[in-house]
Amino acid sequence: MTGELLLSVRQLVKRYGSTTVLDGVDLDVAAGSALVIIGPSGSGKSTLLRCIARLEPIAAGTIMLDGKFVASSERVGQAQAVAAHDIGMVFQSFNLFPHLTVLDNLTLAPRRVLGLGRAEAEARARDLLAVVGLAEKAEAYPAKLSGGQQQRAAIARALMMRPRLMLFDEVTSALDPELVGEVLKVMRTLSREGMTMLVVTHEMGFARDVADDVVFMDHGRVVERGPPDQLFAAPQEPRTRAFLSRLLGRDGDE
Amino acid sequence: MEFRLDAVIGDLPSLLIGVPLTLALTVAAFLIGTTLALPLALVRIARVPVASQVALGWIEFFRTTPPLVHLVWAYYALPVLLDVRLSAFTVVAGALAFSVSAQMAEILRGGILAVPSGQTDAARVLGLPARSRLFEVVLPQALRLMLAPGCNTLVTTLKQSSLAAVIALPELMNRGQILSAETFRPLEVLTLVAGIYLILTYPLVLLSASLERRSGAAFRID
Repeated sequence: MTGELLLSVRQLVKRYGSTTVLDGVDLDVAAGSALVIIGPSGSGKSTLLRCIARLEPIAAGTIMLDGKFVASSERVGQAQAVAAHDIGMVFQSFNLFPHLTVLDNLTLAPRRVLGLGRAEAEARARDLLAVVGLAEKAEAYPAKLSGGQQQRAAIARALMMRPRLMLFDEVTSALDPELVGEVLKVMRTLSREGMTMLVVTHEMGFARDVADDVVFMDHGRVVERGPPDQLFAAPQEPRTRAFLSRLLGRDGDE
Repeated sequence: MEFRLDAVIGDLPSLLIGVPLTLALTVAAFLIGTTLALPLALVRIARVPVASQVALGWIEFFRTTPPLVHLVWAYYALPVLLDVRLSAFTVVAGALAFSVSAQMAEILRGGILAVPSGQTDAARVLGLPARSRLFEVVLPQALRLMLAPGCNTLVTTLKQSSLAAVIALPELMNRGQILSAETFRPLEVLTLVAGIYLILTYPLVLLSASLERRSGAAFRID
């Protein structure tokens, strides 16, 4: 399932004031692969995603998508070769626009950024809503949807822009447990269809089923990386072992 | 002297003549002031160097000094200083507009900052340009939070339009002064004037309550 290198992160450093949140992160993501990132809170997982999505400036290092600069501390002025919407992101708090219907949420950016006409944008939106199982909710406002429905709508909204890479930042952490499955199902389908994705999550079942590789991060660094079977069964690093035993032991899994 | 409202009630029309000017002043000042307020609020939020300090200075000045002072200064001092003579209406509308701009700039800033940052995050990753993010995502949500304070500012502006009386612009208060002098019954006349102001402002209060209810509807989680 590995293809060519799509995303390349080199020596990424991110600081908030005097705190170093990302301490020289290197990461390669092959096209069409699904990478799951796990780690304790404060390890920098979300910050990594935000830097890739260009929501945060970086102190040092480079991020490249398909050989073009996404962000680079040296080439600040030129680092716009990749369009913002080539990288899609879905957030823990959904972030749907509450004053717009689901349909308008989906069509806003395609119409403003991609120049799609209303009819074309709405047609594409309805197709995607059908894929995520929300066809009948197109005219509804986000406040009327359950958390799981809102998140699926948020995924559809991100997909409207046909991104090359999708980032998922703990997208099920704010959901009631019975709603988590429907969102993971959409993500599974997406991955099967070949979308390159970076997923920060605590859902180990998902990681086991869908991930090509699992990355363990701690204190702003990549500690270990490997296929899920290998990483979960036989972690090499002590910190990885400690984290996994805390995580898996707590739920009584294995 | 007893309170004899019936003595002046027949002169009500001569008071009501002033109402259109009162309303025109209010609307002009509020619209101009609010339009000025948007760039003021934005440069403050974006912390644009120099511009945000200038904006802060403007806001602080017009929030802390009385509009009456601006009005009188503009009417009497400007012609001397700059050889420019503005109409009474322009002077009053302008002075009130600057006051409004200072208040609304802070109201706008508060409203915009209250919109969750996740909204801007989502808009950015979708590739929406800054103008779109502001006018289609952030401001519509900020609006809901600004309706009540904004309406208060509108009511205040309407009341402050009465300051025009000091430079003899024939709005409501000025008409009241004239009628008081003519009838020698200031008590009754000014009671009528106060009543008319009340009738003018009360619908605004009701309107703001209804607007708040209506625009909050989409956000309620039922």
